[in-house]
Amino acid sequence: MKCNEVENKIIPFLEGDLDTQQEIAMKEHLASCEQCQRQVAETQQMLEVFNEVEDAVPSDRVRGNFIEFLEEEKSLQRYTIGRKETKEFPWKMAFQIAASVLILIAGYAWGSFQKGSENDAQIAELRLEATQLKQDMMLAMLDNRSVSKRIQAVNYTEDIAAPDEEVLEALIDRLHFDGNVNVRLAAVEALSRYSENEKVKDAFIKSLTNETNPNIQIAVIQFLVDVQEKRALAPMQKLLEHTETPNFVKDRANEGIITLM
Amino acid sequence: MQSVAHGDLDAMTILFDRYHEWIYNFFFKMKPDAAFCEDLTQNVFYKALRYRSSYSGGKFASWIFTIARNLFHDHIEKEKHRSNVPVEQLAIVDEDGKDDRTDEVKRLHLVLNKLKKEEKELIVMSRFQGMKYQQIAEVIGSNETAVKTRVHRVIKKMKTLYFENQLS
Repeated sequence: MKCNEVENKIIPFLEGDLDTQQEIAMKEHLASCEQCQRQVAETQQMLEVFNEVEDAVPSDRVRGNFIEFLEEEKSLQRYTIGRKETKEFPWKMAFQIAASVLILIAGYAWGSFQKGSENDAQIAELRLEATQLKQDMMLAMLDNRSVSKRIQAVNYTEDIAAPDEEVLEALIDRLHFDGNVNVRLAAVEALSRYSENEKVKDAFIKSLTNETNPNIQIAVIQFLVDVQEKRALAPMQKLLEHTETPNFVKDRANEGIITLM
Repeated sequence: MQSVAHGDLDAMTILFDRYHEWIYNFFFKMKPDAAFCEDLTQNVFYKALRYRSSYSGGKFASWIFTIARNLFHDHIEKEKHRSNVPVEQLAIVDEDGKDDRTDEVKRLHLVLNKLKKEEKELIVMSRFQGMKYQQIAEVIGSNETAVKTRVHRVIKKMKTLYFENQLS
């Protein structure tokens, strides 16, 4: 190691910052070089003076003031926290959200109200149309040659809440003149729902006089007893007198007469 | 400091007790004006407290020292504009007249005052504040090797000045 090299390594040497190899080389050089020795000694001497420098001590004023503004800051913090709690609540956003929700609900309500009334009207209209259609179809079908179609037609009247005279007359017509027992039976069932209608009652009384089928006779007797139709007494009496009337029909007629008397 | 940043201001008292003399001495070495240094020290902790939320982890000493250093330079800059007297030439001896320092220490201060402001600061940080080269590098925004080289160069310069006879 040469003098100029050593000169640059004095401080790391004193700081113990050299690796072992360099330190050995340094020491070897120093042992033989007075000039460098002096440099190291001087540097060390000066660096030691740093340790002699006493630390300055600030007055108590510094700490006192610090504590003072710390307390200030703490109260300010409480204030800010207090304010933040109220201030940070996003009122504006809350109102915006509330308004949006309100508009949404209002829109939905308005929409469904509009739609609802519109729909109701439309549905009512459609229902009316459907009813009318069904009625027309039913009337047409009652004249159909197919028994099942006629029965189907009679059953359709169940869907008609308040059938008009035309429908009732058509049904009564079936009751009196349909050649098929099942159609006539279906007509009895259909007409039974209109127990308040005088025309229907008249039709049943007339049917009781003319009808020869025991099933229908029983159904008619049942209906007339249920509606407490006193006018049915005479035709029922006639049924009892009739020799062709089956006994089970006569029994029903008897029961009916007892009930109505 | 993390707890201070999160609102536990009382924790700042602990930090104050631990670091305020260290900060004060940095100022005092740079400019031995007790009143000035006390004001500045207070100011440092006041700022640390006010801007606690800007603390983003890391070594507290480095953080607060950075505040101190910036504050010091700001004040020196302001003073420079007010008077033409360079900082280096401001009185180094105790203002209250009492001077119980050894001749060596006086001599060392004379040498320190001969240094450039940046050089003096490096020495103060490295030799008086006991800061590691890495920490100094952190504070001044440099790297360890560069700081080490510079400090060594300044010590060498100081040694030469220290042993010069015409030093006054």
